[in-house]
Amino acid sequence: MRVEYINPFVETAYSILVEVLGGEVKRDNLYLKSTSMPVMGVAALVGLAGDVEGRVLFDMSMETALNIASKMNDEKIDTFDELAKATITELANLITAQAVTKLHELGFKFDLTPPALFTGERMEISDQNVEALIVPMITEQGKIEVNVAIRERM
Amino acid sequence: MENTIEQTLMQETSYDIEDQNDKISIIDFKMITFSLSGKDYAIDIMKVKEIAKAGHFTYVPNTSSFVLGVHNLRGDIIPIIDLRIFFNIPVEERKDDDLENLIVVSVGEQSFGVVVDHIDKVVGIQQSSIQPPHPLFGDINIKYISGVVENANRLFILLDIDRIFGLRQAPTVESAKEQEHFSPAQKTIADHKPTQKQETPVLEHKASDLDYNFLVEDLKVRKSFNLSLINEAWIKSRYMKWLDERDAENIQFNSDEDAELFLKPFASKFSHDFWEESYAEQLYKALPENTAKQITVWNPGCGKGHESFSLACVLKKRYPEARIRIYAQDTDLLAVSSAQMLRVPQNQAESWYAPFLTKTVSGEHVFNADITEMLFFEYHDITHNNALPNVDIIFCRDVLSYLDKEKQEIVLEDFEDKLKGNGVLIIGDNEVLTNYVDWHSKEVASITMYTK
Repeated sequence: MRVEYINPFVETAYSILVEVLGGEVKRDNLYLKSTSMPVMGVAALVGLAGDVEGRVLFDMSMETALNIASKMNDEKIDTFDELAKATITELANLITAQAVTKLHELGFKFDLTPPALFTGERMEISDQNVEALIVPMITEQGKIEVNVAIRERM
Repeated sequence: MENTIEQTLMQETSYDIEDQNDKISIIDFKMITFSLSGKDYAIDIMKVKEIAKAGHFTYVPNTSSFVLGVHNLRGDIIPIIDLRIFFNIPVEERKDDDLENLIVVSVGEQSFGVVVDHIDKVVGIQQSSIQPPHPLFGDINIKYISGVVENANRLFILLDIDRIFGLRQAPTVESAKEQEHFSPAQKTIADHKPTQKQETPVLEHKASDLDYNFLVEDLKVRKSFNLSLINEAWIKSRYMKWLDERDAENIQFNSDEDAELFLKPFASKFSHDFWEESYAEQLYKALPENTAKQITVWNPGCGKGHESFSLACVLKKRYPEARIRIYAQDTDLLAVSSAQMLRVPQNQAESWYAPFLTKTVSGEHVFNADITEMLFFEYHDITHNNALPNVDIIFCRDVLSYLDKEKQEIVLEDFEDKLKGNGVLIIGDNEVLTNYVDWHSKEVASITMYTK
């Protein structure tokens, strides 16, 4: 993954989470992964197309997802209903859209696909041929892993 | 090595003479033969629909370089593939009004047009005389070859059309048998191991064996430096010197610094530093002629970018006409992120780097746009999958030895897969690939390079 792509995602993930969740947000060490990996329970996926191809995946546990949905809607949400789903989807959209805007300013042209939300136990995601950058963000509501896989089009 | 090849060749020839006579009598396999850049190839006739002469293909944007376009064959629109580009074989310049020799092949439901230099004739042989490809074939990636056939004193390389067009049909009984027969073509990592030569240097059993083994183990733990065929010779000679340098009770490492001291001579010339003109000059002389318009370079383990920028400057000088792309990668995020902003100190700025530099507003020397736009710095782990195109040069000094033994094999496999037929691999000054039959070394201007 080109180094130019990394910072916009790390920065926006941090700034948006601080903005919508308030409180303290910490960033863990970045790392790379290429094998298939388990998804914690709730995953929002946004596809990228244009100069590059790839996807951004926001991965969190059900508990974290509910905490975040509660915080963002300012009400207690106990079940992962339509509102909670829409909230998580929107969060994924916010972060990816702003990162892509930043990349646009640097001269890279991407388009986004509408976010898709996956929920379920013991899911696994595997991308053949692409390695993913993992940006772990620790919030007061729980851990969110931003999983970015981008490759240049040949 | 010569021994083994000679022996194999001799075995093959004697085998041929014995069997040739009765083999020719029964013909149960026909193939169309053609040539690419003077060499003979063949395709199973059952895969071929027809041969034709055609030109003026309709260009389709945004396809791979080997797709020439589409062609209207009596109402059927078929994609046209240039095998020479696909196999990285040099293509003679086309004239606009020239018609190309076209073999129309059908793979499953789909037809493809394949452009070749010259179509020869139909040759009938006996299927059992097809021999599995020898791993020495460098020009064409071995996985696309299903076998080699001799006919009328010419050797034909039989291409596996299904594999080239990426189609896997469910294996029928017969094709399953076929695959078994051709299994050497399908190399996997597990298969790779036997290709290492057996005659690897065995450590003489001495009293110091235990010391040596312990030290090697310690290198792995402290510096993640892994003993393998690539660096065994160096470690041994270094160990002998180490014994002379150190007192008997101080042979083992007492600290990380000791391990560092041991490994210090391992580093290649000007690793992680700016290059002296002499080294740049040597590399300039060593790089092979390449007239391609686009040259792709893979530089894993680029660190803070000194090596990548220096390499870029040398390449710019060597191939001024080509468009050069260098994919420089490292797993150290901090180092690779700062690589783009590399500053050149004053004393270096006046050296051979001078023509490639420019000054920032604050008066610091940086590389000019011609050089920076050649470089793509990536945060990447080479043991993972990558999306690189085929490359002309791999410049990977002092990286392999710091990977696990299994990972070294995986990466070497990947190098072999990604390197073009005429490409070169450069590894660390103290690393060797002489124990791998797949790689051939040559030394030019005191730089050792490896080719497939």
